[in-house]
Amino acid sequence: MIFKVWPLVAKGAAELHIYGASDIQYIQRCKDLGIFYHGPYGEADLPQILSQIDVGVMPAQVQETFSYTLSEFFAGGVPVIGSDYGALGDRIESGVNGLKVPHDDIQAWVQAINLTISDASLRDRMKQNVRLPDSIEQMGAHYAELYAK
Amino acid sequence: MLGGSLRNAAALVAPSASTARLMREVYPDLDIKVIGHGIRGPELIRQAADKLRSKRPGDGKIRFGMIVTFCR
Repeated sequence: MIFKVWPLVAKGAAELHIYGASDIQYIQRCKDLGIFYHGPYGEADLPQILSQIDVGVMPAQVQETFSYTLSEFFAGGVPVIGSDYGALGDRIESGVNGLKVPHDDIQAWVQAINLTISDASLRDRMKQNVRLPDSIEQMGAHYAELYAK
Repeated sequence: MLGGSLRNAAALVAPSASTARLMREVYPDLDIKVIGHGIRGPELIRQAADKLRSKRPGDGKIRFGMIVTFCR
């Protein structure tokens, strides 16, 4: 999806950076499209990576049951443009902590990214509204409550 | 068979509302609680990311990012 969307975006000063393992053919496509590919990363690298990202992009084409990646973006204070599909659709509040986009609608994706580029106040507002995700300890407390019943 | 096992469970938990909805589509009579997964040290990640972000050069660039595994 992102390889279809990014060439249509009115990029201006915008850049797309991709972090994570990839097959060689996708690395070449990133190069061809002017996308910065950074390769695999470890958990300890997350703060550095997240500090470099203004807006996360998650064009999931399958329904996620939760999404740890979304939690990591939110932990780093990064709003996310994500598919309105599965758990991403539950957890992203459009205009609050990100934007939700129909997962298979290329033009809607282009519009959402263009809006985020052109509207600095929207970016700032979404960033301010990103709440911390639950920690493992908080999750454990929820389960402890359930066991206590 | 799965439905029988689920009905005998003391509690049922899904990690998101959408997953709970999917389960209810198959088993509408089940009571499913939603408890999201936790991650390690979100406060520490936020503090470290904010500190590093404050050192970023003000180059006016808007950086979009994907954290993802691309494979066939």
